[in-house]
Amino acid sequence: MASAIRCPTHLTASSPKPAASINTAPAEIVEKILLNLPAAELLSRATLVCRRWHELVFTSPRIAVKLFLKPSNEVAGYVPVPPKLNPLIGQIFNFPERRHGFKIFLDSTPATGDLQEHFTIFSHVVDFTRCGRPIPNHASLHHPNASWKRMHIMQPPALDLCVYESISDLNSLSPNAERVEILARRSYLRKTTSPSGTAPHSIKTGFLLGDFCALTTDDSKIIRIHGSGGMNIFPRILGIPPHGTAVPTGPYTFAPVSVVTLPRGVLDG
Amino acid sequence: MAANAQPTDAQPKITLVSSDNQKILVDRDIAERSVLLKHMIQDFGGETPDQDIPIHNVNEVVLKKVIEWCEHHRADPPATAEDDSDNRKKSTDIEEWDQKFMQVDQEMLFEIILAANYLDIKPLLDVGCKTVANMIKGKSPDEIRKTFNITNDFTPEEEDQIRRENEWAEDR
Repeated sequence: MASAIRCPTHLTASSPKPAASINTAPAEIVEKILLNLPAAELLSRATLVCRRWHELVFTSPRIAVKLFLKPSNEVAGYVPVPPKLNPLIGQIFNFPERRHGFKIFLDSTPATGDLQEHFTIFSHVVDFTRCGRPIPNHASLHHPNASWKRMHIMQPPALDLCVYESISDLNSLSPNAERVEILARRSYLRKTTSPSGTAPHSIKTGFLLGDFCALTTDDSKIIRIHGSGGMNIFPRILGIPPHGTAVPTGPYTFAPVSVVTLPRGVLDG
Repeated sequence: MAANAQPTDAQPKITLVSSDNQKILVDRDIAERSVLLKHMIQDFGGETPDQDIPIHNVNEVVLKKVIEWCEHHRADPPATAEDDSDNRKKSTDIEEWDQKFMQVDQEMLFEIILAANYLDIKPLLDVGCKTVANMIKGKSPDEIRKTFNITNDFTPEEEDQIRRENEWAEDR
């Protein structure tokens, strides 16, 4: 073992080295730097710096996961991985105080037979109605290619949606509360498959505003839930079965399902 | 086989040779903060190599700076294998000594980052990347370009389109 010690030389520049800078640094370094930025800055500022940065933000798998654009590879299930809510999307949700009559939960756990049992595993369920804050500039949400429309609400991505109405005590509303009536539950997303035939559709993103909530799925279809207002909000779920799939009725019945498109201006409410 | 840590004064020395042919003598445990060097030493059969180890990509000034960092962080627990652990820490979390250490000109900062990447010293690479991220934070795209001498290579149309797609995330 007397051979000379050699460092890898494949990186050695044969021509004079340019001064070290962010422009000459390899993509993996720039990626590492950008991963340290808050999601909002990454999206609204770093993408505007130059083509290289823009491309990195939207092609790097690690950045895509950080921005909720791609599903994290954490396996949702009974492994204790509490879902993380998309902080940017959370701010889009607008759920005014006076509308506290029902709550919507998203869930990324695999379905179980018993609904009550299912939702007692609370750590996997995100109550995203608590995150709503008005967004200052609604107009920017209208852009047809606004990047929020491609985002997941949470990681691991939500596969299930549940709507509860509180019968009496609104403040104690939780999935475990006895006085909670489950009004509707939509889980057909997990039962259907994507066009590629493999992954289930997941709920991508959406918003709550006034008396309705809209969610988009992987294939940009929109599920719309709305209530009629007042204490007796009765949410109806309107959805589009992906690619014409029949909507499974399952053990729970839903309000009529029909095609809903999101009219322009609907966010201005 | 697993040799326990020896007292510092008994540390065997290793000679590193920088890209500009300068010899630098370092304690073996300092050199082993670099995963690259650690593996090379292991490949040598676990014994302390008595030959010089050439570091082709790092010049003397940068190498000395890297060694200075390794010496200060000599007692740190070894970095976890978890590559994702860097996501959990806030980028403002840079300890004071490291902040001062990183107060160098931008070229040196990137030299250190590149050397840490090449030598595979993950905690130093993290500190370097966080330092750069802190220089980006709070700046407008134009200020970022000025700070890092980046050319705006977008057409005005492209720039406008990207702005519109992402401006909903602005100012929060």
